[in-house]
Amino acid sequence: MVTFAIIGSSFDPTSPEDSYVTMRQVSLTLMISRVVLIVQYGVVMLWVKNHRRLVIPLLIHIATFAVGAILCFKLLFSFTARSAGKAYFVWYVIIVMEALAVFLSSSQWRSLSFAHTNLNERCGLLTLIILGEGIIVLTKSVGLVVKGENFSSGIIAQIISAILIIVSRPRLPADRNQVQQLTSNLSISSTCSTSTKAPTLLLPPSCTTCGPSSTSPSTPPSSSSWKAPRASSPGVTPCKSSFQSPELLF
Amino acid sequence: MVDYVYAGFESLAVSANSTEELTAGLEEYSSSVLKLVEADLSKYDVTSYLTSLAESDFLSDDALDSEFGILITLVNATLKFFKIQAAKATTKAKSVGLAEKDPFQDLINALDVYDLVFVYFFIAAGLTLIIMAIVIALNKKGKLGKGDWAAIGLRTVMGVALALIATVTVNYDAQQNFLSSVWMLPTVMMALLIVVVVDGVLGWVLPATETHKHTGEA
Repeated sequence: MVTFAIIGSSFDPTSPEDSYVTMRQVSLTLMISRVVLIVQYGVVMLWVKNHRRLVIPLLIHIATFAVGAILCFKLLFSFTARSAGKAYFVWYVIIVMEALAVFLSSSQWRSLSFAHTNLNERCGLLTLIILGEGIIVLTKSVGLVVKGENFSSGIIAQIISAILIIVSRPRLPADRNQVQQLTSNLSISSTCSTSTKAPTLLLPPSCTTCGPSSTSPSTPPSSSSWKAPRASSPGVTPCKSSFQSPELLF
Repeated sequence: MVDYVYAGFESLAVSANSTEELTAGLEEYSSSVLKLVEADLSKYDVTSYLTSLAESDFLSDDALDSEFGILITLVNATLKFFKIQAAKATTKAKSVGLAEKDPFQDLINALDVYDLVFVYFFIAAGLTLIIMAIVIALNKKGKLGKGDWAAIGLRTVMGVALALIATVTVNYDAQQNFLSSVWMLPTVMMALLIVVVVDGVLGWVLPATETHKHTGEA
């Protein structure tokens, strides 16, 4: 992230011949990030090497990131002062390929699903950051427009519309359960007992493999959700959760 | 903002009675606008046009050309401030055979970008809602209730409607009327608010069904 922040100011895809050095730096950074992910998945795979059903999805992820890293490495040599062309489009292809592979394998193998992870909260926080950046750009533009011409009904309507668009975006949940939650203040909780109505915070101490549902933003993630590998330990009753499908979030 | 620049320019041009008065007024107006939009004066230089205007007869063709050049330069600087400008590759490709600095061609390129942004803004807004509908369908994995179908249908219809607004580019006059009006953002806002309000109503009338359960083993 620091690398991207440093080279971001000189990144100009509209003239790749002039900024070919920056293009190479971006490609190198992408390659290194994928190598790091390969190492992380490799370490996890070493821990779960005795569980065959966990090794296969991890191998798929490692292979996906390996292909991405190789392609990024090859792109290093395609950015030159004379001809960079549209080679940077390959980055988008790599990203889409990796996203599809990760999402599809997570849907297929429950061991690598997004349930009981902090992905929900992180995507929500990222959305808030992006909305905040939008508000900053909006206020700058409004300041300039009003400096040039005074407030008119059209300008006021556009300002109100822009604010309402930004504000209504988090109110457009892609999940019907969240719609119900917004309208009726019901929270969906995961349980570690036969009862389906136990509150999220009252987790019995014997339950160590489950955590609060990722759809309950008010409850902090339990320590168990940070553990790796996510193999079921013998002797511990696995928890029943009312929300198991991988969360595809915006 | 572009309308403001144009309106100020027009009022000066109409009220002037001589070349000297017009030149002095435009010089002051240009410097204030360029300062307002924080323009790079080396790139957006109106000095040559002002000199040419001062040397030409009042309301002659040369004077009108100079006034036009000043106006185009001010509009280009304004569009540049709002980051509406063509890519360097496009500028180079379209400038083949033309003079080195052709502000009118720069304006045409920038307005092409403006039209492009208009098209993909509405398409992206529509696709956002359509993808939300797909996500609802995927989350439920086949067990869709009436409320789910209603939510999917609502988002799909509003998404398609928003995306189809981009087809106004087929009619040039309609596109220009819509672009120059204040209705672009309110249109998207109303579409999103309709989805939010109807979603809330559906949440009461047709509550969501429970998702499937399983043991949660790794």
